[in-house]
Formats: sequence, structure tokens, C-alpha cells
Amino acid sequence: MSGPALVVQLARFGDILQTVRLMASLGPKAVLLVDEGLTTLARLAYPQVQVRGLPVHGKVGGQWQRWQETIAGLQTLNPEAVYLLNYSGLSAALAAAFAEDRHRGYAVWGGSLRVPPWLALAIRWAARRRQAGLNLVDVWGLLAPRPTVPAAVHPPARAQGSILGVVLAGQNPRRSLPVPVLAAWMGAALHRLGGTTAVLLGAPGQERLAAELLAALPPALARSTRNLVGRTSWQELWETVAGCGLVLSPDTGVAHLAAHVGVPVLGAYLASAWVHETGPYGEGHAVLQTVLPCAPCLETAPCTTPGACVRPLAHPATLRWIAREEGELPEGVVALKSQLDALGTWYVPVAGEDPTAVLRASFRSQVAALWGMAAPQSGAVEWMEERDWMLPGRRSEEYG
Amino acid sequence: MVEVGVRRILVVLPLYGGSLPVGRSCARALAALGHVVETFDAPLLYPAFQNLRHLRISQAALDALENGYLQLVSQAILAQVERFAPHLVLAVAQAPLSRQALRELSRQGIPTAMWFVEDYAVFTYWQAFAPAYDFFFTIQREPFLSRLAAIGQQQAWYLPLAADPAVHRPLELTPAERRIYGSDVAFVGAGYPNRRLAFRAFAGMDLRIWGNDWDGEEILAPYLQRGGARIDTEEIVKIFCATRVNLNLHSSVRPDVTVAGGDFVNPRTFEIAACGAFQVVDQRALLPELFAEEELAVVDSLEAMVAATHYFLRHEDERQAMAKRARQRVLAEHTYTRRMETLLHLVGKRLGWRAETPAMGHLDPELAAAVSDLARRLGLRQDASFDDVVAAVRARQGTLDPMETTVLFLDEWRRQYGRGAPAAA
Repeated sequence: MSGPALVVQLARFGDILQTVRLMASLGPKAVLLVDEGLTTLARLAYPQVQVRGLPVHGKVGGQWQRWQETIAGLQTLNPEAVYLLNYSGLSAALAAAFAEDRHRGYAVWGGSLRVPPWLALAIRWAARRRQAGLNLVDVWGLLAPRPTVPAAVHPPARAQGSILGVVLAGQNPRRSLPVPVLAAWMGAALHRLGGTTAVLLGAPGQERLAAELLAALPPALARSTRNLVGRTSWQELWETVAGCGLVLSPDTGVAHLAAHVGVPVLGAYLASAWVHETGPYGEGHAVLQTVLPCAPCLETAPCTTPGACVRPLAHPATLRWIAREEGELPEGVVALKSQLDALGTWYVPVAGEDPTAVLRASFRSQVAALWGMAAPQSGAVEWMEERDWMLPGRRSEEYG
Repeated sequence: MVEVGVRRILVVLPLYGGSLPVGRSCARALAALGHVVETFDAPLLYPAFQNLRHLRISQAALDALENGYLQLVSQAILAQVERFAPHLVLAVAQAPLSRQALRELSRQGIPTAMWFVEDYAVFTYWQAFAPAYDFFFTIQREPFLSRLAAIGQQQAWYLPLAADPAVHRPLELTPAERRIYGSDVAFVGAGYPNRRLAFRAFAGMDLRIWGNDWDGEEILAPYLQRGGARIDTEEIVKIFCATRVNLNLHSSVRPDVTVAGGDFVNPRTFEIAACGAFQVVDQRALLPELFAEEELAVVDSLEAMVAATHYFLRHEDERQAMAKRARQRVLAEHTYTRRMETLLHLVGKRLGWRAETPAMGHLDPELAAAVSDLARRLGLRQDASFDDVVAAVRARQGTLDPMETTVLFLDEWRRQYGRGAPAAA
């Protein structure tokens, strides 16, 4: 007799939270495997499911015996399906412990990692990411045999209080607001929230950045700002975020955490961050996204226009919009709010000029058509290739 | 023998045909020798190729499509080479490896060898392919070896066929199986012209003929089993074991010469012997160096074949003693394992292969012991390195056990975090 579904999510903080729709769809019997350092977080996010840890990231000695024990334990579960969410050699190695016909998501056939049709489409569309728009939560969630409806994934975002949570930076500094701009955004965001106090959130190693920010704030705001950077456990971070009325963040795991607990996010998406892929999931979030011709850029490529995508975000008109949602936005930035459709969460422009909004709507209509959820708009078929209609696993009846 | 160390070897199987089981036997033998072996499974691609001819298209279009398909197969071989990074690509006759692909392998510095298990006088395509391989092995000696040298293939050696004792072995048959497969005299194989003529001399005996290509043979038709259907290997073994006298007449396309007296020794000779079964075989120039007189009943004419058959049907003890000796000779000298040892010795000597100290020293002692234990379970040589074990695990089919998975995981982990990382140190 087959056991539960096993979800292998060996990536980072934000990825674990973005697995939410898949986990919700698979139900409480599913087992989630994550990096050992993230098991507490995963248990907070998915208290109903069994979470197992594997020491994956970090150089700790003697791990191989733990790996062997964990793999043996997972085999004992005899999972009916093994969801492989990461295109990585580590993921492929683990997959080899399970029969090929049970692999979902990525798969290992004939000893090599294979990309199944749905993920192959998602990867191909990501090559035109400026025009496309499919939230990663939905990409993974739609792997489930019966995906949960988008509205049931997260609670609707509502301010729980008047504290502003401020996430200093993401992993890549390029995707984060410089300190003076972040200080200005804090003021505007507090005005929007109707609050006066803030809490700084960040990982160990960002303490200096926190000090710089505190120094850049008006003295009264600095005094009413609590600095928790590098000082919170997962549990403390979870509770702190849950107590906020609004979380100001670049594209980070904390932003996904806020969405998970129903706290509205005010996102600053710039450089390589693209709200249409990794925006906070569910209704009630607002994001300012830079849309310069070079956006979204590749993190691995050097920036040819340094500072260009920060300028519109630092513009007084942008700060005014953040504070009161009034007036025009400068060129190069768009304000968007999250909405739900049949496919999942998407972001709709509410201010500023979004040069790709029309194409994105067309794109989503084609994806929805693939899943049998709607009819495609005229011209949307250009997102598909000839082979998509010719080969198994790519036609609409095979997605439903 | 040169100690060649543990080698990664890709065996390229043909799309179909008689050399296919030879290729599979080579792969098993190389694995049994403790090497890391993958096969390029060309037969997987054969059905689509065959079905091209069922399309309603012109012959010219079919030719173009077939050529294109064969190029695709070669590309697939190159892709497997890229992933497996073999020390040697070993092809058996008819392997779908184009000369262009061979040139590419040469450019990449990957040695190639061909075991040409065909009659060079009949299948002359060696003239086009032999110079493209680094090493060439034949089942015939002179003048073939000189002809190879003349066209630029200097690294060519005689390597006779063999048997795989895991496949061709004595079987205890049930009475029912003896009824189905047994007879006084039998032949298994294709109906070449010389066999059609020769076996008429056995008409009237308790004779059974198994195999295909016997269409239109009226005199022998009553003896043909299953309407000339192809017989699979497992059933062939049962037939060999159930038959009192197995006829083994080497093929010839000349109908006027029943006993052709050629040079190479066919696989059936080794296979019947490996089964511990008895055979009467026609004389071949290269047979005396492979088997002694008391091991096989060797005849040089059709009349002698008939006489020997009658004689040995009457002398069961002699028959059994001779069959036993033949089997012992095969097990000692004529297995695919021995052939592959010889092949690797010759190739390894020229490529400077050596056994290396097991490269487990960088692992912690407990891990090194666990990996060595896994290497033994996988049948690898004692000097297998961690990377050899990883390659052998990757080549495994099916679901892996926790230790095998752990080794793969560790290998990937080392790629991500560096080879000196503590989990491996």
C-alpha cells in the first residue's frame, strides 16, 4: 500500500513558503523534506504536516550517516508520489531512492534529471519574463492532482495593528533599496498605515545596515523603531511579523511569511526581482515594481545602468503614492496590487504605465486555457510552440 | 596481464541482429571484471527506425529519413558519452556509430574499439569503418589483419568469440521440456544454402530444425519446428541441453559446398559447449587452437558428420564425457570475461592504463569503509575510487538503496560545496 505524498523542497526560506499551494493541495498527510536548518520554519508554516530535515546546506562534518538514515526513513514511508521542486543535482540524487513512476515535478529518468512538460513550459516562459507572469506558488501548486483554489491558500491580508515591519534587504543587495531610500519609504509607509512605530527585521550579518538605517531616520522615528535584525529565532520572527500591520520588504522570505500569516506587504521590487513571478501570494498586497527597459535584469550579469532602477523608486511622487495612493507615478515604476483569478495570484497595475500589462493578460489567458479554466485571448497562442500540441503531456486535456 | 585499474566503459550495442547478444555479453563481462559499464541501448530506437518503411513515401525519401535517423542515433551516443565520460567506447559489429561520430570521439580524445564479430569476406563494411577506430578486434586472423594494416588500422588483433556461462549453462529439464525441446539430432540457426543441402542427409532420423530463414525447403519442412519462427536465447539453451547430438555446421552462402572449411569459429560452438551439451561441428582453420580433439567431435565432410552423429548416438558415455571436457575448456578459456580481459589488456597497454591506489583516502574512515563495502556489493574491483563507485551507482537501473543514494547525494554535495568539504573529509 502506498504512503503519503513526499515534497522535497531543498531550497531556501522563501521557497519553503512559496510551496504553500502545493502543500495545501496535498493535505495534512503529506510529508515535507527541507534543509535541516529550516525545519522550525517549515513546521510553523505547515503545522498539520510532517516535516523532516536533511542537512543540506552548510559544511557540517559527518553528515553522510544522517543522510543515509533520513533516506532510509523516507523510503519506509513508501510515498505514493515524490514532488521534486528543485532543479538540482542534490534533488536528483534523492529522487533515485524512489521509483521513477512516482516522481512529480522534476524527475529522474535513466539516471538523468528530466524536466516534465509543465515545468518545461514555465521555464521557457521565464525566458520572456518581462511579458509573462505566473507566480511561483502557482507553478508548484499546479503540480498537485487537485490544486486548492487560490483563495484558500492564504488568509486575506489585513492589517493586524499599526506596527510597520521593515525588512532591510534581500540576499542580493542589488534587489534592495539603498538606506536613504528605505528611510524615506519607511516614513511614507507609516503614513499609509497610520502608525508611528516600526520594527527592523533582517538576518545576522545585516546589523551594520540596521545601524545605518537608524542613523538615517528622523530622530523621533529612530526612537520608535525596534531593531531586531539578527536577533530573532524563527518563532520570534514569525510572531513579530504576524503582529505587524504592514511589512515593507524587497523580494524576501519575510515578505512571503507576511503573506502567509495574512499581513499586507508593501513590496519594493527592482533589478532582477519581478513581482509577476515571486510577488507575495494572495489578495491585499501592493508592490512598486520598476519597469525600465532593462527590467527584470539577470542577477548574474553586471548592471549597465547602475542606480537607474532606484531613481524612480526614490522619486517624491512615488513616496506620495506610497503614503496616500494619490497622484501619478514617475516613468519607470508601476504600482500593482495583488488579485486572484482562476490560475492563482497576479498583480494588476493601479498606477503608473505598465508597458507589458496587456501582453501579460494575454499570456495568463493562454495558461488558463491550458488548464481548462478559460478561453485564450486572441493571439495568446503565440506563447505556445508547435511541439506543445504534438507531444504527450502538453495538451489541455492532460493538464486538468 | 597489465593491471588496467577500474575503467568506465561504454558498450555500444547494435540496433538489432546477431552481434546484439555479443554486445550484451561484453557489457556483463566487463562489469563482472569490476569495471563501471554502461550500454548504449540502440535496440530501444530500432522500432521507430523500422516503422519508417511503413510510411507511404518514396524510396528516396525513405533513404533520406533513414540516414537522418542514423545520424540522430550517433548524436545520442555522443550525448551519452558526454554524460558518462568513458575511458573507452567499445562497439560491436553493426554498432550505429557513424564515421563522423567516431571522428568527434577522436577529437575529444576518447579511445574507441570495435569487436568485428563478422566474416570479413562477406561483410566488407570494415573497409570504411576500421581506420576510424583506435583499436580493432577480429574473429579471423590472416589475411584479414594484414588487410586492416594496409588500410591504416595497425592496432588490430584476433579475438575469437566466446560464451557467457551465465546464459549458456547446463539446465535440468523437466520431462515435459524434454518432450518439447528434445530429439536425437537438432540444429538451431538460420537456413543458409549449405545447411539446407547438408541436413537432408539426416532426413529420416529423429531430427528437429529450429530457427528462421528455412522458407521453401521442402525436404526438411517436416522437421522444421514452429514454422521457422525465431527462437529466443533461453529456449535455445533448453534445445541444446535436450538434444543428444547438436549439429553445428558453419554457414556458407555457397550451396555447392556443404562443409565450407572456413577460418573463424562461430558463437554456437562455444555456446553448445558451455551448456555441457554435445555437438558435431565442422572443421575450421582456427578451431584446433581453441578446442582439443577430445573436446569436440570435429568433422571435415558431410559424410563424416553423418557418421559421427550415428556413432555418438550409440555411445552416450563418450558423448557425455566429451561434452563435459568442452564445457570445462570454455569455462577456463573461452568466456566473454576472458575475452574482455584480453581486450582491455591490449588497449590498456597502449593507452598506458594502470591500476591506481584506491582514492578513498580523502574520506573519513567510516565513510571510506561504507563506500568500499558498497563497491564490493556493486561488483567493482578493490581499487575502485569514490568516483568509480559514484559512476557505478549512476549506471544502476531502478530504485537505489539508502547507501547508494547517499553516495550520489554526497557526490552532488561535494560539487556544490567543494571536494574538501567536511562531510567527505
